[in-house]
Amino acid sequence: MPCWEFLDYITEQHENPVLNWYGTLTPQAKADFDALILALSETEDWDEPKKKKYKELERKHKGLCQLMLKVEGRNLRPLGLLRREQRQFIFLGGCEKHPFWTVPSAAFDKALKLKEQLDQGKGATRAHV
Amino acid sequence: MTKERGRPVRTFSTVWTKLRENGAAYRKAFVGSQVKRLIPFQIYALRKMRGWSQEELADRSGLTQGVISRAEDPDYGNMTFNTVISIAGGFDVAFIGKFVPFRELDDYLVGLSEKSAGSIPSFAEDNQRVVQLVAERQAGLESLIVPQQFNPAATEGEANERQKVFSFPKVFAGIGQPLLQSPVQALRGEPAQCSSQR
Repeated sequence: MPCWEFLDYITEQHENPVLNWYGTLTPQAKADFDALILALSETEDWDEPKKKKYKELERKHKGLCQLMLKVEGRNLRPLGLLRREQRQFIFLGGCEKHPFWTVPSAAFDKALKLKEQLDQGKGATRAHV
Repeated sequence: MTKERGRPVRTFSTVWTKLRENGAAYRKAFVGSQVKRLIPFQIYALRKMRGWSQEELADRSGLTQGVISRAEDPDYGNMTFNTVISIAGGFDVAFIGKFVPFRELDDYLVGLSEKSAGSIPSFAEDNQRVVQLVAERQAGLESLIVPQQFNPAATEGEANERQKVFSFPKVFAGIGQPLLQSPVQALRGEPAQCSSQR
């Protein structure tokens, strides 16, 4: 039985942001993303070994958590909500991160808005596949 | 808000579906991703299960702590076979690298956990189990063998058949044909018989 549970947030308009983003990835990026989720789902302590697998954001995007993935020289950041007590990660989207912008644009702001909707009880979650 | 309790990420259907639907390029990339991620995962799990530091594993492997640290980093991506073999030696376990059908990879992933990845016995532990198993089977074999004198009315063929039933418990399963070898034969180093030869 996995240690951690991954869920997708589904908007009230029945959109799955992370799945939409996943669909834009190259086969290599998809494979690396899937491999990361598989490994994280079975890793008891995400802080061990001491390798950056995730980062809980502060300041402007406080409340969001990004997973860290480097694929073919690009920094990919699946975004979501980390619920430590429930050992859940709820995907809210994803992006390719550059120093001063993301692809798609404003990905972190959009994810934060989805988090607010989730917190208000809007939309739904379902198991990540 | 409706919520569906998440089921495990890995099931036969989810992994297999991805392998099937995302095409050959994805499958190739997936194999690479798994190798790069699962070997570090298992190294860490094995070390953690044994309660060793990276330094201790490095000493046992004839490597440096820095090499072990990189070996446990799934993003490193440059680990060599020589390093893997050295680390296997440090754990005193075997490492097999072979081509397999995707079904085997899927089976492996479905059963994957830190516990399963780390629960690989060293040779010393494994050898203890083998010796115990052979001793148990030998004890079981000796209690089952019926001396020919027990039924003097039995023909030689009947006695031989009885001997075969009790003397050749299935021990190994070969490819296609089960190999039948008693623990006593195993101890003596006698060759196993293919079932078709019996």
